[in-house]
Amino acid sequence: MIMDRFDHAAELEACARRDIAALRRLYDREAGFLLAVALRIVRRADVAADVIHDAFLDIWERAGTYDRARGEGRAWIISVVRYRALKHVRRASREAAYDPALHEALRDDGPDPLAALAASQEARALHDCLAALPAERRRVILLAYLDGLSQTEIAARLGTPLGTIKAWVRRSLLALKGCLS
Amino acid sequence: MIPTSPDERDVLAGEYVLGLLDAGLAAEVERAAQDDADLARRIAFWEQRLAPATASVAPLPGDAGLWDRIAGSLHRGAGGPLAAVPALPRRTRRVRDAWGSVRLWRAVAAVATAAALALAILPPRPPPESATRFFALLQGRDASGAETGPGWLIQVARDGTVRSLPLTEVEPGSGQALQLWTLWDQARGPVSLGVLPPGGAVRLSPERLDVIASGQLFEITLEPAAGSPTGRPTGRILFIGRARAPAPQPL
Repeated sequence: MIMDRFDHAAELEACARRDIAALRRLYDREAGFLLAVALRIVRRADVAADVIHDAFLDIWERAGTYDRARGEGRAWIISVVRYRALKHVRRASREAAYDPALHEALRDDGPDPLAALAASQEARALHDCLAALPAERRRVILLAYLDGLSQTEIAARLGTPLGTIKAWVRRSLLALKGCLS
Repeated sequence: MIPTSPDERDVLAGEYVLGLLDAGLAAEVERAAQDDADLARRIAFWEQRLAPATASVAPLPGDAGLWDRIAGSLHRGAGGPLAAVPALPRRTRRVRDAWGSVRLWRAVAAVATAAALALAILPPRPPPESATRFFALLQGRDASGAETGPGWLIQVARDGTVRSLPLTEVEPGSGQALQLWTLWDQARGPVSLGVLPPGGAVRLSPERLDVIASGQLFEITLEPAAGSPTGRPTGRILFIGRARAPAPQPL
């Protein structure tokens, strides 16, 4: 990771003081990355742009609720974008529109998430805890978190019964909670 | 129902953050987290600890028009200054159109708000006067947009120092302030010169004004006390006028 001094928390606090220049700095800094996070979930460039638009309005509106004691500003922003992206895909009732061929085509794009985590020092804890999970359970967590797949979609993708996926999610979360705490 | 056992709450919070809850339950969790600090803390735990998983996501090239859309939406959300302004007489409306054109406001918001918040006022001690390069006599506008005569004088010295001198008494309401703007570049749009102090008389350091040219537009609008939240004028125009050079020959 390149060391830099960009202070996401301070920019969010400035947004809470209605400093639109701070929002612009966050945009300049993170929009390309956030667009990629959103695209991975919504799978359409125009929808991803809508997600970022809505997410930045959310950031502006909700910056006052951000508390640096609760965590890093960048993670908070990523969450805002993910929730917006998830709302878009759920509203579009992707369950009905689920296209196994499309998902199959997309399944191997991008670097391996676990390998990327290993390369990032700040992500070391998550890497180690995910690595301790059985491979298929780790995959379930990442398909949900990064690709925004529902449990039904994950079941279809992995050819595993829905009930099994739900049990895996539950056990994985409990294991991760213990490991990450 | 939101469970009470710590493990169940962790699982629910985790499923919420992963996006695995149906819309109804997700909305219930969101509502509950507003009053349930423990649940909010568990949600924040997952948000923070899972975020590094995005390390594998490679940034995309930015979308050139996207910031403009965001800024435009923020502006409309702030109440829409143009919609709030009554129709103006024809001649004035041309000026208003220039100020109101959405294209003018690109990239302005950031700079303008920063300027509004960081108004630098020079010490009151009068330094040797630099010769006046431009005057702008701003005409007052009442609530209906009708002209009410000369109301404000802007003087720009050769060194770029800007002096603002009210010719009439203006009392902004509680929580409101007067904000001074200038426009020299249609592509850049109005730039805030700052929120004026009570009374309105102020001397601004030369750095405040990047460019000064004959015909340059100056405008004073009614804004929230901290200055326009959007970086562009949001309230009605109180005074408006253009810079003119004094006659080259002394009388």
